[in-house]
Amino acid sequence: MLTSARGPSASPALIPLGESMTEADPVLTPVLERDISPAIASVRLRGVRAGYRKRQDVLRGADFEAYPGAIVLISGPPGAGKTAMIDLLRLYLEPSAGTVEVLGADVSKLKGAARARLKRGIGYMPEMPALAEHMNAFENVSLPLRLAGAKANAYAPDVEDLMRFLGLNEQDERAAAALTGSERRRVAMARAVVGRPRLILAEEPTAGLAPDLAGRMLRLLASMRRAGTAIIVTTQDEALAHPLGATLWRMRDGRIAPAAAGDAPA
Amino acid sequence: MTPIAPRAGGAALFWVVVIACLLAAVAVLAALLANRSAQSADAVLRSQFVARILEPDAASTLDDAALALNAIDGVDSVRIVTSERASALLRNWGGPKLEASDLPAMRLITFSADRSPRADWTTTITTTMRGAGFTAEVYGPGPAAIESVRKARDLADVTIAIGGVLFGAALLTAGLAARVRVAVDRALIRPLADMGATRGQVSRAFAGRAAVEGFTAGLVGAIAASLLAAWALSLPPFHSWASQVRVGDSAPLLLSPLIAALLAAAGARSASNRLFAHAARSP
Repeated sequence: MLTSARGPSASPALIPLGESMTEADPVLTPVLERDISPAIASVRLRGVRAGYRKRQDVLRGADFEAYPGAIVLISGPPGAGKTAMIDLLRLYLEPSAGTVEVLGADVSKLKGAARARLKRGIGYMPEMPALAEHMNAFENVSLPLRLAGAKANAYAPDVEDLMRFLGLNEQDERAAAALTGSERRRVAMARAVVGRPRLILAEEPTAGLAPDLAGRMLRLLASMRRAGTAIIVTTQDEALAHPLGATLWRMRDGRIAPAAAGDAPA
Repeated sequence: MTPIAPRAGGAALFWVVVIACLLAAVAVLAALLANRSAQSADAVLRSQFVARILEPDAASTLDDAALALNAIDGVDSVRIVTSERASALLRNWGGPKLEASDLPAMRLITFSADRSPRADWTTTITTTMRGAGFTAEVYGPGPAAIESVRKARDLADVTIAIGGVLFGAALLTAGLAARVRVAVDRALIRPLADMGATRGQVSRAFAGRAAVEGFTAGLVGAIAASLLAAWALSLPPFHSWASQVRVGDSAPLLLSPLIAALLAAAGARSASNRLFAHAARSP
């Protein structure tokens, strides 16, 4: 039986929509132009098989779903398929079998610009943050808004607040290449949430952070959850599930299943 | 606001394009001038004739013969070759001890055609001169002279071909350099794709940067080529070429920045599209 991750009743969330994102799109319009409905899964996988060129059977029939306002923690040993799961949900990996729905859209039907528009509804924080190295922290954080066509004077106050919350100096003119590992992770997290996405994918979000900064990161995710965002976190640290109030799923050998109470970690 | 595509970091590639454009512009300019010089030499040689007055056999008839020649339609710049000048010419073959008095009276008149003469023009001159009471032999440029001019023209053609190839290679270099420049920044494309940037947004960012850099490199190369050409034309071996320079010769210099910008933008666009496709979706 499929177990789903359901969150609290969602309140409307805003995704900054650039002009290009307001164009009618038959696939995305149901997703992007209405309030989040807790009844529509943010993510739904059915019998998904997927892999990479060199290893084609990473995911072997994954069934999974998460709803708006849910926080799902996916844990598992290295090689279990956590990264493939995230790659699938961030529209990087194509399934070889099964169906993948993200924010209500069947990703197999999305091409080019429609795919890019859907990606703007997803905040992704990779384990190894890839930043625009020539830009400073503020520019990196605000890049998704800039790409969405928002004006700098409109988003600057929100971006500055967000950066301050994460202990980043919004006046810091250093290029990203000069930031410390901890700063890079916080910039990547701020960038993932700045557009108020409807789905956040985070890989080991608190790894390498001081306890107080890790706590802020978790508070930020919790506040996004209250706004109706579905949050999927991959980690090897199952202890994160408690402070986040997350539903725990475990992955092993390319399969994913909800952790039953009292289960031992894989 | 910092541009999406970084401006810094491409100095080496920039100078590669500058040097390529400089070489191309110089090569094209040299080709144009070489071709024009060869054409000019050919035209001058083919319009030069010598008339040897055989009869009446008197020194005083040379002035009258010159007048008669000058009256013929198409004849320009008639000049009597003095016996000293004729001796000087013959001395090239006879050696320095040759005295003018030892030589037969040559009674030569050089003249040129004011337009490109027909093949049978020497016959026309001979006939017309006979009508005026002069028996004359008319000589056009010899086969050896024509052959040397033909070689000069062949050389000019080769120069043009080399100039064209260099011009094309320089522009290709601009396009390839732009591709390499995008590849250097490929790490930026992945997060852009993850953030939902469209292929168009990414390619515009890189193509815009490449166009600016290609234009600037082309302009610097063209200015450097102009200065180099001006310096070269001031040197004694190229003085004769300086007179051949036309306003239109600046066309390749003006065009190279524009074409370099276009090709660099095309190269960057193509590279960024390819890298974006890899970044956006697992192959």
